[in-house]
Amino acid sequence: MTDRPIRVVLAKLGLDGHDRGIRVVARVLRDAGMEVIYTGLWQTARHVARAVADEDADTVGISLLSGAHLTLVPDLIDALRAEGVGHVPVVIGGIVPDGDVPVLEKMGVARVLGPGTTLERIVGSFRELAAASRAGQRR
Amino acid sequence: MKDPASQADRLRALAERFRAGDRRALAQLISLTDDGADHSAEIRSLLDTLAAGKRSALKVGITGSAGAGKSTLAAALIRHRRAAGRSVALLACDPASPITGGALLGDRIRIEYDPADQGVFVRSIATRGAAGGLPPNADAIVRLLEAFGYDEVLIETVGAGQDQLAIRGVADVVVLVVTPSAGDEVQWQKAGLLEIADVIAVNKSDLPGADATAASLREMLDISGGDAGRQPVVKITAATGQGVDELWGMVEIARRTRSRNTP
Ligand SMILES: Nc1nc2c(ncn2[C@@H]2O[C@H](COP(=O)(O)OP(=O)(O)O)[C@@H](O)[C@H]2O)c(=O)[nH]1
Ligand SMILES: [Mg+2]
Repeated sequence: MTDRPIRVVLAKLGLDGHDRGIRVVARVLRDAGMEVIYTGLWQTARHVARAVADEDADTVGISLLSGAHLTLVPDLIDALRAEGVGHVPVVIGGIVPDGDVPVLEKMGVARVLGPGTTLERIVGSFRELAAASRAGQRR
Repeated sequence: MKDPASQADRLRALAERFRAGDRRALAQLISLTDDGADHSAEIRSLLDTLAAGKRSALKVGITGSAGAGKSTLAAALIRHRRAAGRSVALLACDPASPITGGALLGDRIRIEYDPADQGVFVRSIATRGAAGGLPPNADAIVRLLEAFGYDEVLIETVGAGQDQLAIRGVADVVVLVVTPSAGDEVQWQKAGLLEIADVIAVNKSDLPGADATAASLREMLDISGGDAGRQPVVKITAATGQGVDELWGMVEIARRTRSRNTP
């Protein structure tokens, strides 16, 4: 049997209104066979967490360009836990200074994909993380 | 890979959490129902036990072309029903690519609700390789939402135009959403859309032409309506909620009429 497609929630957290990057990622993941649930701009951490829980997403991708990642990401991690989906891997895309990457990882972010990331690596990252997350759920 | 015993255990555990009102269990059971895999028979028998003794929900289909405003109307209906103290679930369907199986599910962009509100549930579903504007297990997913206890279940179809007939078998009441556009009424009729609808909503009434579209729809339906009388036509502006209260009244009347006519 074939497994059902990977489900990804993609969201923009915070106040910046640029969604070109995340729309490109949405199309690339769709073309790689994934189901991409795009929630749109100006989402709060709690909205995203609710979508991840109710949509039963395997991973969640967040685009951040506002520079507020060090406050928005802990809020998101807390909100995911509160919704019972703290195990769902979080991918952060956008502009994150190198020095902040280990900080985000320590907060629980699974992967940070900066502006230069190839599309192959983006697809590969979501695939790997989704597979690991499903294997963990089944156990 | 998955051995049957552990799969059965997993289903049993999910069912227990579902019965206790755990929204995550509902979300996970929908995924298992949606994957069309070998355990769908188990899921169906599980559904029978979960649904036993539960009140049935009012199931409302929302159909119409892409861009007509189905998701925006769903959002307005969610607000309307929550304000009336009713709990409501939405199943929002979008097409999947027949080649890759991937899908862009964007209905949530239009739908806003308080993330703390336990009386709302929104789920996006890709209609993988299915004709009819609905996923193959749509009826089972709707039954899950019903068994979980939502008072009302809204089902937004993909809106591919011609293939909307499947919604008739799942919903109690079908709302067709159209937009003001001179001359399209004949196309809607040819496509059989007017026949399957119980209520016709002319959305985007803030734009010019809504009155003319509503009038010519009424005229067309008067001719084809026969003894049963024609379906009601209502002008709405889903974006502001204008007319949604009147639309809901028509939905409830249509439900009563239908349940009288179908034993
Ligand atoms: N002017 C106007 N635009 C609307 C209204 N309702 C929806 N729209 C717009 O129509 C477009 C498609 O709406 P959407 O709900 O996504 O349509 P769907 O594809 O049928 O689900 C969006 O740009 C909406 O903002 C309305 O009442 N008036
Ligand atoms: Mg829609």
